[in-house]
Amino acid sequence: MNKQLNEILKQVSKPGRYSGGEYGQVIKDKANIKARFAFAFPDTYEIGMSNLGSRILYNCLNNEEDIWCERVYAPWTDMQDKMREHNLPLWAHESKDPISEFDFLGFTLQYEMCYTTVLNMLALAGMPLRSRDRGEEFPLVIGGGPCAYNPEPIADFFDLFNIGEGEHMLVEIVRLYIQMHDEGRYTKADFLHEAARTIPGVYVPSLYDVTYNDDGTIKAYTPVYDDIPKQVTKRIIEDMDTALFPEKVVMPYTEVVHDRIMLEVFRGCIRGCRFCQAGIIYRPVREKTPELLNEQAKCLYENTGYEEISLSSLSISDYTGLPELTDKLLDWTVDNMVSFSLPSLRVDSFNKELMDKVATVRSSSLTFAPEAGTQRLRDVINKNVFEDDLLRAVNVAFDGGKHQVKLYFMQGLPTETDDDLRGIPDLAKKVIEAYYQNPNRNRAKHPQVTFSVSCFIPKPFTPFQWEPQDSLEELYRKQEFIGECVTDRKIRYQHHDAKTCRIEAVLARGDRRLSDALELACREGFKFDAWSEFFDYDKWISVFERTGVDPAFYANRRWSYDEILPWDIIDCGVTKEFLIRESKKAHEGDTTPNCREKCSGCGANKLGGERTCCPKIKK
Amino acid sequence: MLSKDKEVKACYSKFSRPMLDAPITVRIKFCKVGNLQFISHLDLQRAFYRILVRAGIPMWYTKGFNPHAKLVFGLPLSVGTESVCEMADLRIERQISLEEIKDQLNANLTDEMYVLDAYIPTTKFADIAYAKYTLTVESDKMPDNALSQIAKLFFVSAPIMMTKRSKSGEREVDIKSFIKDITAEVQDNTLRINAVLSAGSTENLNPEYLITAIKQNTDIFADGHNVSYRIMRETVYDANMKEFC
Repeated sequence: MNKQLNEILKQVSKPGRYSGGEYGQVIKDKANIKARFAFAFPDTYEIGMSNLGSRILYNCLNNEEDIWCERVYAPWTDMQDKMREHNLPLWAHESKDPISEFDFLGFTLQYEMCYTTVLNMLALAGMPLRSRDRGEEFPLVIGGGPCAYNPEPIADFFDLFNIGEGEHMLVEIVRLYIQMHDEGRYTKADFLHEAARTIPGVYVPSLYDVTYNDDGTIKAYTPVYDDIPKQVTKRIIEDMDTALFPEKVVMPYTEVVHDRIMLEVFRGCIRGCRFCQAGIIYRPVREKTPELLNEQAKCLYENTGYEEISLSSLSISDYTGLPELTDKLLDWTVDNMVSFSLPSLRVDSFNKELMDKVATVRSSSLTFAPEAGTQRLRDVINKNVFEDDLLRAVNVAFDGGKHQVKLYFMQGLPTETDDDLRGIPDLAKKVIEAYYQNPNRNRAKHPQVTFSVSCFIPKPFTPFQWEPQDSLEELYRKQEFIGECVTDRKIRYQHHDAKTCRIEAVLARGDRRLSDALELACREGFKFDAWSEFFDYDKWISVFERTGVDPAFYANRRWSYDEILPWDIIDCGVTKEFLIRESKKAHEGDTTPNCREKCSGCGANKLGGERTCCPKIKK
Repeated sequence: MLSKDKEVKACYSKFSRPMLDAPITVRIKFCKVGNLQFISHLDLQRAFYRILVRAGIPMWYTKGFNPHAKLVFGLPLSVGTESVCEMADLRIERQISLEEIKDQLNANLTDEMYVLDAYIPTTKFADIAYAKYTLTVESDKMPDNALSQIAKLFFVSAPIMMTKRSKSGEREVDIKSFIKDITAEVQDNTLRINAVLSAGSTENLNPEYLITAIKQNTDIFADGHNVSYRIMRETVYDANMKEFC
């Protein structure tokens, strides 16, 4: 092992997160490798190791004999100081080799606030930030994940983006790279052109020129070649039962955030809540069969030794095979002392049978997300749950002896009034009242309702993508207003940092003109902006001022339906017409049924998919 | 996709093993070296529960509200120290041979941590009193008088006062009072120290203090010499200096 790194590890906090050597890590002989891929998660090891997507892609790439994929995480600040002190560049977790020696550096982009960490990692690797400044000697920098659906704020730093699900696409990209090298015709420019031309889902930002109108809106995106797509359509895995499933898992020794089996049950969501980006960009819904899932769960249990299984998908209770799957799981998990949990329960589908099945979970609290305080506003956001659903659900929980309930809400939603805000603590009060009216309640305990209120952030590819975010002052006023309505000590109120939400809104709807600001932020040492102890709003505003960026233009403006959006270059399957329709219905307070009740013609069925609830399109 | 023809894994086969009349304790001796020297004792404990499940070891579970496998570690190992003599006691409730325990565990471990031996213990971890460590210090340029500096530091009778941190707080101690035996040699720019130190729950000295003492009192770690060091726990002993096993 690298002696220098070894010495440094003796001087930093939690060295186990840098040392590698985990059971299940992939080590290959460099002599047989044609392409080396550094798969980076722009946050700490503890966060990155909890991400299911990266685990899947790690296996996809390493299943190829001549490709070696290694992991990279952002070192904590004490480690970064030591690295600078000792001139140690960012290294890959498995081999400890410097990143700059790799063929590819891939970032998974899970949240906007990681952008400064991405640039920080490029700088730690000793690489120029902008793609145009990186010569042939540097790795190709590629990005994927949910934030790649509007990659424009970071487009100047990346050579290429993967739009959509990466299992096949990522391998095709590396294969093309190997092939062009084998044939002796590789140059970075030729590779990027050929990838954009031949591999669906590949977006090469440098191959598209952007022009702007006088009012700052976008005038046009123009491809620099005639033979590359005018719009990049996202890739999906059509049949989830055949999707590569990571049988072997890298087992962290140190404690990570989600230290359990994560079983992906389906992709997509039938609901179509109008603020939710995940509910749109992962369409169409594609389910796995319960038989296969049960086998996969067993396999993961055998290969990991984890004694907790989390069924992980958006709105898990919408899975058509849920009763069958939970029965099959209970057949063997009980004897093996394995518990399982269901995140993100919908109040309208929570019942006693389901609660009894997950009763092995040790937690005494349950979490529901009504999102808004009044029926009027829940209709606007198309949440499609009713107060009665919530009260019925909490009564099921109280019948079962639970006494703590957590509720998630959002404030700053389109059309919101103070009455809607007052509805949030009112709903919490009704839950407390329901507890005392429940004859089967646990009389030894007092009820506890914690409600958490986040700020609405308009996100690309949602019906609310044109909406303005409330001003910072208004977000603060609303936070206080809600707080003043809470009078009961059995009700606890938490809220998100409004300043972070505002910067997130700027980055979420940003375009390429933000790159100067991000570069300056990196030069000034920004990193870990997703961590409250590092986020500094005033510094962000100062960076925007010095680079000529008006944050209100991105965060607080009502965008018009006919303006060209920075993310119009991407086709996520769902049409703009559908989103406009949904946006108009929101303002009329009209709801849209979920995909299983009635297809509302979002357009995602053109992508295909097995075990969807979409009408088939003849190809 | 899932490979259908996969062999039945060990973690299911444990149910086919007959129950014992009463649970028994099996001790495993294992090494923990290389990258894994940076895994803390707490993390190791947590990881071991999963390793035992993966390996299909028929562990006895506590009967409380929160059942967990019964697993007790010997002398904790500090971060940054390697070892070839770690021990843990497993409570077993079904028939399994000592050889099977070793083999099934090693199929689920790596070459930086694996089981050296499995046996029925005749001793208690509380009887551990000393541990022998090898400290290897490598330098681009070891001072010519390194050995005499070490000798002066550790063999001449002046106490080496250092602040020792423990759960009960900080205190000034003479670390020499924890050194039972120490030898040193220098060869090709490498200084090797063998030290037997107090170890266990009553008196214990982290070998890192010896390195700190060397850093503070000699010029062996002087800047610019690219000095690195390794510490290896070699053996543990009871109060009579009999090898503990």
